[in-house]
Order: sequence, then structure tokens, then C-alpha cells
Amino acid sequence: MLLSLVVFLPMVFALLLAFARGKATIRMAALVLSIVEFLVSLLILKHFDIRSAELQLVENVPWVSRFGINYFLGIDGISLWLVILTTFLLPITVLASWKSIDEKVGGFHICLFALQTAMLGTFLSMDSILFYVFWELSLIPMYFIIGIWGGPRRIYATVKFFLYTMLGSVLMLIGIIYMIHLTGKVNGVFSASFLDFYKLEIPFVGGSLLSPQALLFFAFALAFAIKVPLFPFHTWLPDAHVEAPTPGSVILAGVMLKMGTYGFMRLAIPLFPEASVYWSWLFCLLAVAGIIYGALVAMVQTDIKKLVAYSSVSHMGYVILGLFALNSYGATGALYQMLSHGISTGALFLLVGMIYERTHSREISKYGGLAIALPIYSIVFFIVTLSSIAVPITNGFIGEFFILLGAFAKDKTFAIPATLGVVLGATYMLWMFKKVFFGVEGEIVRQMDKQPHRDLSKRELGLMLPLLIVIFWMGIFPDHFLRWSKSSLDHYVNNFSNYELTITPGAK
Amino acid sequence: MFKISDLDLAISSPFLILFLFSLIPITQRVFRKSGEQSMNLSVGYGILGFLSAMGAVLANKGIYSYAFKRAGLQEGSLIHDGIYNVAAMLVLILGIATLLFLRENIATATERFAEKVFLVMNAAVGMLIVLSANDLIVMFIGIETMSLAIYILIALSREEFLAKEAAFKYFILGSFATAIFLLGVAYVFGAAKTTMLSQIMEVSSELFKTNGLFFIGVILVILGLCFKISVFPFHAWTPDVYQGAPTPITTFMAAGVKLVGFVALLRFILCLTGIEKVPQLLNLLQWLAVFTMLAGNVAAIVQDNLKRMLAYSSVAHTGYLLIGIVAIAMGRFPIDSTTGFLFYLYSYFFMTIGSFAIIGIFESHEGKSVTIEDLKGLATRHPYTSLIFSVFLLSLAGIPPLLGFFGKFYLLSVAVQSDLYWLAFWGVISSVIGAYYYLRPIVYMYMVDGNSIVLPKQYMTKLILWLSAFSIALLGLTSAPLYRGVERSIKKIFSEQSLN
Repeated sequence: MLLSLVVFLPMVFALLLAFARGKATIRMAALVLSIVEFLVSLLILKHFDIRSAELQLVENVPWVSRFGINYFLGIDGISLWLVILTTFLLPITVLASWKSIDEKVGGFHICLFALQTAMLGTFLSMDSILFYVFWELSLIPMYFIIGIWGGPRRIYATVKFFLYTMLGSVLMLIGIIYMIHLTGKVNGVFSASFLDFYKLEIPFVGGSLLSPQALLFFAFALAFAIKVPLFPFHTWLPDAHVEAPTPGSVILAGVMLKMGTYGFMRLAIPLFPEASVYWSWLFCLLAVAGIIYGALVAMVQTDIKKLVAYSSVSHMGYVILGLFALNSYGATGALYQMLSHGISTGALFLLVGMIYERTHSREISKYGGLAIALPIYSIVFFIVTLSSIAVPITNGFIGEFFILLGAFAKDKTFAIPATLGVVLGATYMLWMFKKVFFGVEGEIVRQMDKQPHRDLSKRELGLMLPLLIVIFWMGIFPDHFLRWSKSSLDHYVNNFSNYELTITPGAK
Repeated sequence: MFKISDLDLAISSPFLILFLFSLIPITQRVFRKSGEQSMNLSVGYGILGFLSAMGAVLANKGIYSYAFKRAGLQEGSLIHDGIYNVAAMLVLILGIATLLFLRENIATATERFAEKVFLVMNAAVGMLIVLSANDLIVMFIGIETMSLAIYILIALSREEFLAKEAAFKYFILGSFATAIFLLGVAYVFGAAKTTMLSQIMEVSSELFKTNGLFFIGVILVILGLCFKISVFPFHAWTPDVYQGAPTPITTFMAAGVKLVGFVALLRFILCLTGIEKVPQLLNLLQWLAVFTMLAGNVAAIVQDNLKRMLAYSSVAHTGYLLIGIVAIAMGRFPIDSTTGFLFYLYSYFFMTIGSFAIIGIFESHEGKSVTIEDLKGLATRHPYTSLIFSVFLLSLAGIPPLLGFFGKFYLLSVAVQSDLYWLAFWGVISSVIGAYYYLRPIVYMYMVDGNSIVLPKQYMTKLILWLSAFSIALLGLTSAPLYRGVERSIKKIFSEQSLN
């Protein structure tokens, strides 16, 4: 029941919030409820067996028995931290919305909580149709969040976001249906469970795009690649990020992009191992292209938020590279990078939002010398910048380091340019930092002398503090996090070509 | 050729009941010398008629199975099977809803109201006849009864220009199509020496091999039906007629005629044994499906008038439903294919009622055509109406967990099962195109500021809207028993077939 509770509690909260009146009440209530949700999700850690690579806390109830579709939730070391990340970011986004969202506050929080249910459901579903339902469901709240509370070009951005993601996922739907019918043919009973999907042997012909496994692999991979987003499917992302309100950007970068990489890890790679091995060069190539391209484009951005958005493209490229290195280092690094990207990019979007609330400008050229005007803000920004460019003892370092190790073990052709990408990443972030915080005082900072802007408020410090703590915690003690996922990751890597997930019989 | 059996009489009792009840309001109107009679009274008689007809349908269910089991009666020109059972109920529910819409809509709650009630009820009689037809001539009679009533219903609108044009267009093109249908029936009769579907079934596979005229007849019958369900390239009338007709009548047509037309097509395809060995026909149907999906979805993108947009969307959904028809025609998994197809047809029926009826309450005065611009800022002033409309639109777009998604899932499953990957691919691609225009009204309602229209207080209409929105939201999550129900309702048809 615990997993269902975690998934549907936000939905219940959303309904409760629908009855609340008054901005202050709604905000306070949402904050308290989101913290409750976070604490409830921590209970998972208590019941999670760290040594087991099996699926845990399983709930399995028939739903559409005609097609073997079940309401089937389960958690293992791969999804564990993604779930915690999702619930961890919720109170922070709620707090971040206190200033930036001032209209239709109730509606905003309803969308936010509904989105939470959809995302958690995506990470915890072990049934393909349930997974698809949550996957698509997550589009609707985000569609409203960008479209109602977004910037001037919000409608273009949100429709593009919706259609792009839907285009990818409908092909996955055909793939899922095909797999359901395949289980029916092979086993005599229909099943939509991932566990039964893993057992299928799907014929693969190397080099032929038309063999069933290759087609299925690309049907799934396209859906996930658009979500990640993998170069060249990334064009929706900068638009969506720039137009989204700050809390929307945080959720989008922090969690929704991970749904794509999680999909690769949970579905595309273990379901279609031969195709993944055969086509891994393509994904590594696109990942490296994304790393370099994202970094280069970020370098020429004049808008801070757009810069951060392109840095996401670059960073998510590392995750894909790690996943398709198909070895232990790569997988570990990819999982860790998912988490640390969620933290550091989320934090960057929050910081960009904070300065935008004060000055209503994100033009890099208008800033300069901000370090003197807002010292505390500058320090926090600097720490997050370090985390984003993967300096040791911050969280970013561990993930990228493992990924590069994995990439070198696999193929140096991809590893070397990817390493160069790290340098490029440092370049654009530090350039941006220099232009905004140091140097000649810009237009905005000069105006600040006339009407002084407050440095970080207690609320803002309060919401940044957990993120800063986690940045160092993850950077200094990676094992605190990785040991929870170790058995699952080992199982994933060692049984790569015939991956299976099991449930302890009798476990409920 | 025509032998009316006792069984036929029993099955036709709902038609007779509906017809007799429809006479009451119109007779009253004739005898009343001056002034209009109470509209509520006419609606009351109408609803009473529909409810009694429902009772008769339910009673017949028992009679029919008894007649088969015990008395060993032969099938007549009318049949009462699982498809009829469900579809007839849906038509009768639609009839009640339409009467309530007519009563509350500004454009239709005017003079000559009794006539409208009369015509709606007789159109429903025609629909029931088509649904139970086991004979191509009976089917023709049903289609004509239904269509004639609807031609007049459209023309009865006081609104001068568009409605008259729509009625005339529909009449001319509709007559043309029924003529083609009749020509096809003549060919089929010439080849098969019968118009009874159950007898055609016995000779069909032989005739496909030997008789070219039978093939021509079959194509003509299918094309005649294609007009009614607006398949590309016979869809051009749809937007004009849907836009021109008063909105309650549009709702009635869009939901009712489409349901009935597809059931007729389904019955005809099911009786064509051996069709799976006629690749020309299957190819024709497949290409019709692909072009219909694309034509509907692409044309809908540029529409600003809501009714026109939904009209094109209805064309697109015809295309999706044709995927099911193709799978049924291939005959590899008859029960699964038919169930998936019917599930989509029934769920689309509910979505259509909701989405067209809600446009009715946006109409502030007669002859007003609602455009997307009118929806600006609707969510601020009317949050619940916007929510309901969004549910209908998202369901039409096939977003989970609404009913439309599960319809799409079962239909795609049918396509994948029959190895129709190509059709499934076009289906999902055009559904993404579809999502674009389904999202547009939502954009205007929620994301663009503006002074929206003030909605009239149409309590019954709103009640029906709430009910269908709720059922769309909830039936999606509980689609499993529904699917099983549809499956059970048709299983008998196929087991009887295999016995023959």
C-alpha cells in the first residue's frame, strides 16, 4: 500500500487544495502537504531491502484482465532515488512559487500536485499500460503550467512541448500493444507486465531496421529520446524552459527529463538487449553530439535561462552516453548523473527565477558586477555553478566521472570528445558567471544603486539550503546514495543480455 | 420475398411504439386552433415514447432468445442481437437527450416545436430499423426514414441562409448516395438472388470467386454507406451540414447517424464471407481509412468555427473506426476485432454527444456560429464548463486515462493483432495531428485572456453534459467490465454463425 499512498497522496492533496480559498492559505497548505508527501516517501527507505535486486513493495491488482493489464507498482534500486528526488523537489517548487506565481494560485498548485502523481506513477509502474497512462498524464498538468503561468510565447512553447512528446509516445504505444500480443502468442496468456516483457525473446537481425526487435527498440527509444531530450530531438526544450514559470522549469528539468532516461534504463535497453548493443554507437554518437552541441549553443546565449536550458541538453547527453556504454561504470554514473542533474539544474533554474523576480530581465549583457550588489545570492549561485560544471566534492563530479570511465572502457572515440565537453561546460558556465557577477557594472546593477534590491530572503535561503546540502552530501558521500542502488545496478549490468526482475514469492 | 413473421412483429414493437407516441404532440398541434402548445408537454410525450421503446427493446431481448431456443423460429428480416441491444439503447438515450437539447437551445425552442419532436422520434424509428435490419431493403427503408426526417429537421430552422443550404446539400447528396446504395443492392440481388444478409452470407464466398457483378454490387453498397458515415472522399458535406444545422440536430446527427451507419456497415461486412480473399476490397478499405484520417485531421487544423472543427474531427474518427472495419473484414480474429471496433464506436458516441452539445450552450443567440475566439477567457468566468469541455476534447484526442484513450488502445490492439501495423502507424500519427486542434480550444479557454460569452442557464443540457463528462472520465478507468460486456454481447452472433 505504501507505493500507492506515495503515488496518489498528491492527487488527494490536489483535490483538497481545490477547496482552499485565499492565496496565503493555499500556499501554506501546499507547503505543508508537500512536506508530508516527502516524509511519506521517506518511509520507502525504511521498508526497502538494500541487499535485494528484486522488485520490492509490490502491489499487483488486475485491471483489464482481458489484456493482462494490471495495476502493478514496484520499486527497486533504479527507481528508488528518482522517486525520492521527485518528492524532495516538490516542497522546494512550492516555496519557489510563492513570489513567481501570483495569479490563479489554487489552479497552479492543483496542477503541480497532479503532475507529482503522474511522475511518481511513471517511475513506479511495472505494467506497460499503467506506465503509459502515467507517462501521458504527466503532459497535461505541465501543459497547463507552461501555458497559463508562462512567459509571452508560452502558448507556442506549450503546444510544441505537448505535441513533440505525444508524437514520440504514440509509437511506443503501438510497441507496447505489440509486446502484449507477443506475450499472448508465446505464453498463451496476455500480459502487460514489464516482468513478462523481459522474458520475451524477440528476433533480431543485425543491420536490418525492419527486424521486429529493431523496430520496437526504435519505437520505445524515440519516445524516450524526445523526453530526455537527445540531440536532435531537443528543440522543444529551450522553448519550454524559457517560457515556463520557475517552478515549472524546476520540475521539467529536475524530474520530467529523467522520465526519458529512466525509460531507457527500465525499458528500451533491457527489453531489447541485442538491438541496444548493435545500435549503441548511434546513441553514443547522438549523446556526444548533444554534449558538444548543447555546450556550444549555451556559450552564445544571451538569456541566462536559455543558457541553463541548453546546458541541460548537454548534461543529459552524458546520461545517455553512460547508459549506452553498457557497463557498470556507465550505468552507475548515469543513474547518479540523473539525480545530480535534477538537483543542480533545478537549483540553477531557481536562482535564475529569483533574479528575474527582482529585475525582470534575464539578459546576460544587462548584468555585470552583481556580486557586490547581492553577495549572498552570488555565493549560492557560485556553489551551484561549481556543481553544474562537475567540480570535485560536488555532486556533478561523481556522475560525470563514472560516465567518462564507462565511456573510456567502451570506446575511446566517444569518450575523448565527451571529456572535451566537460571543459566546454566549465567554459560557458564560468563565462556566464563572470559576465553576470563580476566586471563592469551593467545597466541593471547601476539602477540598483537607486532602488536597492534585497538579497536573498529567508524563504529563498530556506529553499536553497536543502539543495546546497544535497549538492555537497552527494559529492562527498556518494556511497550513501549508491549503496541503495548497488544490488539493482549490479543485477542490471551482469544480466544485461537476459535481464529479468523477480518478486519474492509471498511478498506483498 | 417479404414474409412478415411473428418474430418480426415483436422486434418491430419499439418502432411502432415510438411512432405512435410521436403522433401525440403533432396531432394535438393540428387540433389546436390558435397559439402554440406547451413545449414541455411535447417533450414529455416524446420522452415517454422513448422510455416505452426502451422497455420494449428490453422485453424483446427475452422474447427473441426464447423464440430461438424453444420455438426454433427462423430469422426474419429483422434481428435482435447483442449489437442491436446496445446500439438501440444508445439511440433511445440519444433521443431523450436531443429532445432536452431542442427544448433548451435558443435556435430550436421556437414555433413548430411539436413537429421537431415528431421528426426526431421518427428519425429514431429509422435508426432502430437500420440497427435491426437483416435485409438490405429493410436497411434501405430505415436509412431513408432516418434521413428524410433529418433533412426536414435541418430545414425547419428559422435561420435562413446556412441551414437551408445545409438541408439542401444534405438532401441532394444524400439522395445521390442512397441511389448508389440501392443500385448496389440491385446488383447484389441479381447475383445472390436474395437481399437477406443471412442468406447472402451463405453464398458470398462463392460469388466473390465467380461473379463480378456481386463484387460491383458490394462496392456500391459500401460506398453508399460511406456517404452516411462521411468517409473521404464523400465527406465534403459534413462540415457544411454540421455547421448549418441547429446544434441539437447536429448532435443528433453526429452521434446517431454515425453509430447507425457504422452498424449497418459492420453488418454488411460481417455477412460478406470470403471477403478476406478479395485483396482489392481490403485495399480499398485500407486506403479509405488512411485518407479519411488524414483528410479529417488536416482540414480540422485550419478551422476557426468550432462546429466545423468538430465536424472534421468526426471525419477523422470515421477513419479510425475504418481501421476496425478493415480488421473485421480480414476476419482473422472476428470476435476481438468486432469488440474493439464496437467499444470505440460506443465510446465515440458519448464523446460526440458531449462535445457537440456543449457548443449548443455557447450559442448566445440564434444563428450565432461559435468560433474559437469566443472561448477566450472562458475558464475564468465558467471554470466548470471549461473543465467539462476540456475533458471531452482530451478524450477525443485520446489522452489517458479518459475513455477515448482506452477506445484508441482497444482499436490499435485490433490493428496490431491483425498485423495492420501500417494502419496503426497512420492512426497514431494522425491522432497527434488531431491533438493539435483539440488543444486549441483549451488554449483559448485557459491561456488567453478575454471577455468570454456569458452562458445561458440550460439546466437539463448541463446535467447531460456533466453526466457524459463523468462517464467519460470514469468509464475509462473501469473499461475492463465494459469491454467484457461488449464482448459478451457479440459472442452469440459469432457462435451462431459458426453453427450455420
